Amino acid sequence: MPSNEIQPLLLRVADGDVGALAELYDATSVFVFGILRRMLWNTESAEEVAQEVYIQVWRTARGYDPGLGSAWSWLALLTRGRAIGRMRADGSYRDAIADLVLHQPFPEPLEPLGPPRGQVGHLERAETVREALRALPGDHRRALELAFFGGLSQREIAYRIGTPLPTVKSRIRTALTRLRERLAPVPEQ
Amino acid sequence: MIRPAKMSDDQFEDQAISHLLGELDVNGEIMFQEELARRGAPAGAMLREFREALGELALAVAPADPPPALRARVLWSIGAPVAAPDAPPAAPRTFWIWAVAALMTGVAVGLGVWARRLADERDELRASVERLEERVVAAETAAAGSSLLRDLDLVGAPGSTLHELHGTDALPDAGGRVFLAAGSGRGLLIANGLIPIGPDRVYALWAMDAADARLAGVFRPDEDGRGRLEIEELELSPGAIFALTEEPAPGGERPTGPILLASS
Repeated sequence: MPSNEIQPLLLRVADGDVGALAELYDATSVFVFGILRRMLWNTESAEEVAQEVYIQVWRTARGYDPGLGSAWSWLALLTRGRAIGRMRADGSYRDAIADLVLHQPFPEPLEPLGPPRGQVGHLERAETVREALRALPGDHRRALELAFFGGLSQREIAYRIGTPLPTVKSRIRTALTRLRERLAPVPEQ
Repeated sequence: MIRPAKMSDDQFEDQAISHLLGELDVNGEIMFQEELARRGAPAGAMLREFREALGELALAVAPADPPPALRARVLWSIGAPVAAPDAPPAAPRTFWIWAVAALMTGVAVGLGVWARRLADERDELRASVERLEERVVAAETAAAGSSLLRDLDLVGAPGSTLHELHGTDALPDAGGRVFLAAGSGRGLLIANGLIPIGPDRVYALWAMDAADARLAGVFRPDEDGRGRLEIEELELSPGAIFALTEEPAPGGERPTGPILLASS
């Protein structure tokens, strides 16, 4: 699922093409669902929010601007936003997730998905990302993980791990900078 | 809003990351967008690279197969021509707590509205009943007044005759009077001391002479044994008397019961 493959689908969805949404779902649902399961730690919640994600894609794809980023980053950040919305609906649930994230190895080992469904390219890309993450200092990687998957603000991360806020911001900024340096920009059509 | 004199590159990158993570409040977002515009294309490129890095970061988690029914639900939700999906997934406990709370709130509100509506309907019905009661009383009063006027008109008419009825041995404490208007054939019976009777029985007033008995009318007494009968048309032959009998409802052509009241 290279991003340049799903961008035409997203643009067709923006034009109201129902078939394109079905194709987009087929191309991305295992990744969207993986993100949601990782963030929500609950399969039922992940399933429910995944449905919300694709409904939101259908409704807001018209707002996607290829000039601002790839289709995948748009979809990934939209998915994260929906998951955080679900987390914030219940503060205790969110705290529990943050605890789980702190004690979960990251990047997590890949589990076999069964017969590949056209996402071989994506899996290769995912492994490249994991290598880049493993190359980060542990505290940098952990701060980035808490910010993205744990649903915590940088200030909340600072409080939770007992580290000054500027340090947390610096770690996250450095981690993202190194990631973007190691990962070549995704070519767009 | 307090604006920093000048935002360093690191500060701007922190702002960009906060923007992408959705952490900026409204003022922070405005400041960031202004700074982004001021810095031009290089800043836009930097933001795009951060965005892509976060998107790539999302790929680091293990993919997971969603439930097969989810696809149909998604497509069904947007109105795609697919078969009706299975029931939606069971929501997490917290969702149900909120859902039940919302439902209970809705039910409570609904019951409140319903109760208010019932109370309104009750008040309206009560007012309607009161209005009806007033109308009934007024009607009864009018009817009674009308009857009284008719009775007075009948009783006080010139040439009216009065016929006293006395109880026989069968009903010695009963009595009555028949006022009979001259010329019109109209008359009025007022009786008292009658015994209440069943629904299948009536009291019948007869005009009897030696040759015949003609029915003047039937009536049922009230709970106090009082009876009233308006006679529409009766021509009383000379020597005839009035007699009251109890008969099977609705009354026949000839008296069958004993005479209870009789005029002299």
